[in-house]
Amino acid sequence: MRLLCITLGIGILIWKLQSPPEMIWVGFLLTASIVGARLAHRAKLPDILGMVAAGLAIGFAPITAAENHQSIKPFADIAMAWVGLYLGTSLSRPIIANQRLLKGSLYLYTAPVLTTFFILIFFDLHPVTTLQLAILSGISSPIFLDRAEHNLRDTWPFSLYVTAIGLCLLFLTGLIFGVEFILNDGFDSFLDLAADIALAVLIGIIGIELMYRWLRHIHTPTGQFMSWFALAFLLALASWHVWIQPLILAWTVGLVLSLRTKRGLRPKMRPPKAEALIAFALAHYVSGLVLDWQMSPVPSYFFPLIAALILGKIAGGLLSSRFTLQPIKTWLPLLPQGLLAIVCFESIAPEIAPLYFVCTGICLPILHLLSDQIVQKIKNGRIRALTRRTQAV
Amino acid sequence: MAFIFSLIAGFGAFFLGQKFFRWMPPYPLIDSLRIGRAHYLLLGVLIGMFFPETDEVFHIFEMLRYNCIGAILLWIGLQTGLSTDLQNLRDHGISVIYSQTAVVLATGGFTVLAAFASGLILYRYLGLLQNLPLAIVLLTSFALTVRFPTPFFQWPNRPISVPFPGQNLPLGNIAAMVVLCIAFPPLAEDPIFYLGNLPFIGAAGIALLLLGAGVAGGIALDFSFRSHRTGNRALSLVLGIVIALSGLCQAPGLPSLAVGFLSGIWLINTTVAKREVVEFTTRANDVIEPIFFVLIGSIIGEFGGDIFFIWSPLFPLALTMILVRGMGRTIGFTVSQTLWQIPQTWRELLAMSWHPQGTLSIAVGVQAIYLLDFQHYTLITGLVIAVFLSQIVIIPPANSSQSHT
Repeated sequence: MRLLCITLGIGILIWKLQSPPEMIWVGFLLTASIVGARLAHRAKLPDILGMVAAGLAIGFAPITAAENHQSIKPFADIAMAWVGLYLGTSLSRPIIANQRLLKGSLYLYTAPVLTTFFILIFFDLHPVTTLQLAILSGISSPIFLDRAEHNLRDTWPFSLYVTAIGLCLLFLTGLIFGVEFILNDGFDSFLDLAADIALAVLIGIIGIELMYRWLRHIHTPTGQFMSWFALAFLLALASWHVWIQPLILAWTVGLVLSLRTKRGLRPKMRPPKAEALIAFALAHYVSGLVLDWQMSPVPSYFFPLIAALILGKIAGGLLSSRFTLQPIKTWLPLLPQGLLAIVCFESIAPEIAPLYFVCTGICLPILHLLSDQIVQKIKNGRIRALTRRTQAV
Repeated sequence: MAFIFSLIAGFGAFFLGQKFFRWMPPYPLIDSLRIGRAHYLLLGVLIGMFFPETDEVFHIFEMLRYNCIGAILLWIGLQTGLSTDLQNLRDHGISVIYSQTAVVLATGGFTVLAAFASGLILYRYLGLLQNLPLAIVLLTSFALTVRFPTPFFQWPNRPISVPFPGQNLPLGNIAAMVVLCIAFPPLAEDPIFYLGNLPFIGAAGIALLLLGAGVAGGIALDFSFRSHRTGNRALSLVLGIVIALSGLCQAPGLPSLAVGFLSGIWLINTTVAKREVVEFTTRANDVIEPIFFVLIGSIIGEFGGDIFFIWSPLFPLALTMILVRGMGRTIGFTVSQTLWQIPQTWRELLAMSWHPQGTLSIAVGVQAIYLLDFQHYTLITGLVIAVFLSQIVIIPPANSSQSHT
């Protein structure tokens, strides 16, 4: 209640000030998202869901204006880069080399992609868009999962794995069709682009190697935080230069950094889970989605896309259970999608991105929670029946 | 591209320094600067020197830097406020309070006189455009500050002469903040502010706003610490409140340091979790201070890269500040020694008179950017140099081992 009062107090200040400075917005988003997380925790929902809900509420609030939202984007980009680094560095070589995880992830990823693709080809969509939407449907949301909260240790790696497969495929399709598109402009523009990409890759490789060597010498939590913060800042700067979403750029850099080591980054080398930055990034992004939301008619392929995504993921999960003996609780949390998926989705179909996020980022986690409780109840019923039978015997 | 090179150069220098530090423990003077986080300042200077203003993302970086420094200033003010625990002050002997008050009065008096005498220099050479009285207030506050809680650098294998428990009482810092809080409202450049339909006009209005913002911040922080005392969530909440409060300070042009100080006083004297709050903020300080120094360094580097011809008044300014402050403190402590026998020996008197300055001193200097109009940042750079020079003033350690660090 007290924290809610603080947030409301800051909100009233913003309302009363004629032109509120950027920092008051940053503080408001940060406080509101943390309060949202706390309320969600009390309601036994994932904390991330509370942060998203806070972002939604702020987006719909009359005090929020597009200019204010845009003015704090540089701060949000740094936070986004941090989230990307956190997720990218979580995937390591031992996870990738694990055959059981690979097999399970392939089932979990392929089923929704195929289902979505075969449903979307019946609609009047460009083949590339169809393919990219299908590739996106397999992605899960690692950010919705907390490593500490999940008893089943395979859920988090599965989520990282399917997300990595999806993003890599998306990157490949983007590259192939992008090159085709640029070749239509002429060979010179293609050469220019190739030279720019080569330079960026070279700088990236040198930078990542330097960063890796730097991280090996980190011994204190201060140094650890400072180094990752500097990298997040640098990546945000780079993203403003090259017009790539900082989340995607940072995820790639984090992944490469993690794969540079044999056994993944040591705990002292990894970016710490800074809840403040994650909360701020989420709340800012979601409120931005709400501000961009135009009440345009929903395209005909939208609901079939969502249905195909859900059915495909369930089918993939069942296949994974069948062939890798994973319990249902391992793959059920992979139903929702989060920041990485929506950021990519926004670049493919921006007009329906907010609605897509409401369905996959808010409704699906709630659906997952409900189904989780149903599964738990069935399990409890079976245990009770078994106990009764044993007692009778 | 230039920025990338600057970063590579900056990190390279930092990396080499770190390697060198591991290979050979630094000389005490250098170690004193390291404790004062000069290496982060150097990193910032290198970054600032190579980041051209013509770069397309420079204005975004500048906006980020301006806002972040504002928030960190509030944090530093909050830290100072947290050291103003009235119960703790009462526990010290009254003579210690009197002694420190004498020092504060002597130093403040000396600085005000010196600043008035050099008013024209401030305008002509140090980049000040207007509002000399407020500049004098800031200089006075600057001179009153001391490095806290790490006062002296360590001499390897040698005992350090620690005069009296009272020397660790940050009364200088508290006095500096009190001066700023009291003197700012009548000297504010823009004494009219509207919060909705509510007008705050004149010195009384601004004083009310300053007090209100500080107390509201303190209450909000107290509430947040009642919900979460430690951990990630507590840090997130505290950061959220501090950031929002710094935004609130920017709207009417209030000094963030003063607002943070008032919030800190309220928090430390009302909270039920005193120890947890202090421990928690000290831990967070380890991360926030380096960011502050890097950002300040980038301002200095940017300024130094462009206007080399203004370097000439820098070192005279820094030396003058050190001398004026040292003389004021020496007189104050001499009076204190005569009246209350604090400090007891000449060596202690010397050590206390040349007590180095620290993060708060730099923060007071940087606060001027938010409150005054400058043509260039010679004054700020000079003050930062004065702080680091004060950290390398050598007081020879005693040969006897009667006291401990």
